[in-house]
Amino acid sequence: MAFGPKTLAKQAIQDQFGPRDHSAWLTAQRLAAAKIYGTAPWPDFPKVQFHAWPLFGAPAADAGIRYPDGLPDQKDGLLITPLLDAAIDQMPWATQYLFQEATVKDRLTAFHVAQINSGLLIHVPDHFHQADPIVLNTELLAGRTAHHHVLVVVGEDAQVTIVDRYTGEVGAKSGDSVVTELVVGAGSRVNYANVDAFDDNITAFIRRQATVAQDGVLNWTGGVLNDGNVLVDTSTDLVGTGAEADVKMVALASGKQIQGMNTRITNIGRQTTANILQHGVILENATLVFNGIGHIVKGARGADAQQENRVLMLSRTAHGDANPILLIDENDVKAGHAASVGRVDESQMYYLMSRGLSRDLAQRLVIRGFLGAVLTAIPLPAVQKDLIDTIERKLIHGQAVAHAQE
Amino acid sequence: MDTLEVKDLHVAVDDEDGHQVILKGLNLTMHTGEIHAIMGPNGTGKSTLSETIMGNPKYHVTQGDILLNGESILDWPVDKRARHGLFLAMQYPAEIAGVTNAEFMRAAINARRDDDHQIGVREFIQKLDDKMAILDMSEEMAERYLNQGFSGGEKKRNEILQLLMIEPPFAILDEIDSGLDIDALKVVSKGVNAMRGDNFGALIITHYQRLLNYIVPDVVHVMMDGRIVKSGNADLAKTLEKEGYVGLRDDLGLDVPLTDEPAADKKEAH
Repeated sequence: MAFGPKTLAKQAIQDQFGPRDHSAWLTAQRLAAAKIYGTAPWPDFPKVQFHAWPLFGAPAADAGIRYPDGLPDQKDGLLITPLLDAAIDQMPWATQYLFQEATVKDRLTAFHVAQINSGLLIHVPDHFHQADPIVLNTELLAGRTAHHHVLVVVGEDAQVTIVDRYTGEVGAKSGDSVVTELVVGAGSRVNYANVDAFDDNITAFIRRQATVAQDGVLNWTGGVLNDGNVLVDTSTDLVGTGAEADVKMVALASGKQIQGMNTRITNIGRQTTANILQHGVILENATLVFNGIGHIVKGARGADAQQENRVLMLSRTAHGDANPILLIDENDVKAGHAASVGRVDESQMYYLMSRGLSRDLAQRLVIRGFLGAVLTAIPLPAVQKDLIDTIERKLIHGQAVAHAQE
Repeated sequence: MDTLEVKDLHVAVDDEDGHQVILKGLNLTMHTGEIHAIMGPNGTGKSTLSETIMGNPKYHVTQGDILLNGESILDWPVDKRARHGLFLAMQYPAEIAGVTNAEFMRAAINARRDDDHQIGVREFIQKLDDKMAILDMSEEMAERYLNQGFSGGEKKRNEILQLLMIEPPFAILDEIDSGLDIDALKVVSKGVNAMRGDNFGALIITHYQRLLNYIVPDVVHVMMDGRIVKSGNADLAKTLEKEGYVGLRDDLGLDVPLTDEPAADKKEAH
């Protein structure tokens, strides 16, 4: 099933998911997605050959996920509901934003929407202002294909920090998908931190689509630390005048895996500000591709789109790409980009080693320094530490593999 | 007593200007308990000497040897030289974001210890507090990222702080006085003087005599054109300050070009 079925039969989708859905609206959305699946284009991941990946596992009828820490407390008007159990028809904030046209336009997303078997609806009300972050820990169960869908709608003039962390149970292989839609209301300020750390039994399509309304601010940090082949699409639409997005991604690829990442911000509204910063490290025989996409559409006067994509390769057999892509359809704008694919900074290595640190330890510290611009922006110290520890563990493993090959 | 010997050292460097021979047969012997100073005009190879002793891979030894306690260290990588007792306070220390100053120094101390004798957190913090007090450094400097956004003076102090924390047998201080105002110079000197004793030797590389008013050397060497041309006691530095390098060169009858000398007296380069 490597290339996926040619079509998705509406009747089969109806029969498999209809009885489970608590909302006829959801079933109708599935059927609409099934209808476009056969003709929709593949998602565009430049320089990533993913078409033969096993992304089309047969979905289990029941949820293939669990929340190891449970779900966050619902207080101060915060609402968190399992998607499949919700009477979505009676939740206008959900029907308004779920499965936006911007989200469901490619083959992989259509496949996902037609067969969602778990998910959450999260509503952060207007003027919400809580210092404690909303922390979601989601674990994909081994061998149980998950098509997990999350919608987060943040109302107006709210301030919230959301940590969205994914891991996978070690075990049988599966091809999974995770799609998140995030809506930042007018005047709201959202810190969103995601960490994806699946083991190599999971091949995944991960998609996160945000929209930011007038004067909204989205500070997004992402850690992409999976062991298997993954596609990660991180897209933000700056819809309202004065909307801002600052998207910082850190990635580490090791073993033989391929991680392909599109990080996109589209300036639609006037005076919108987009910043992309991606730093990645590649070990062993792995491949990491950063496509940074800055798109300023016609009419987005006064828009600013900046991006920086940097990849560090630690072995001669590593493959890395950092592709800045600027699409500008308006004149009165500012845009800039920087990209590099390089090796560890030898002057930093020399300095650290001159104090007695071994080459391996010096290398790990230089890499942490290289990733520091992103790591230090992560809002929760515990998440930051978790990410640093995961990176450390992978680097030690990668160095051991490199020494064994010497 | 530890001994560091430099014998007939010839060094070349590959840089943007091509292959250049910088040291041309340099000899130097120093022991712990001694402070040596090397003075000399610009471009004479002072920094090349310090980087070569430390083991910077950009510098190639083409002849001669460097011995630590009688053992040649030419084949040792920089980290091994450091763990065996060499320390270089650099002119331009690297900046590393994401790694705190304290974390780095703790790693440096532990690199010299085996796994069963790593420095404890409490002991480390106490030592750090003590040494930072000597250098008038504020506590927050320890938690800042390594040299990231440090001013020139802060970087120099931080180099000396590392010296005090690591306590190596031999330290080379490469123009630690450059860019320092008089107050900072006094503080840095106080740090180095705090290390003085039977178990510590230093090689102070400087362009100016002023630093040597605060760290009084036992031996002063003058370097020109890749060699040591004269050695003496602390008074030699004062004579130099008065007469300049050109005067000394002419007294010694040397035929070397000095990049700093006024155009009028400039000799033809040979």
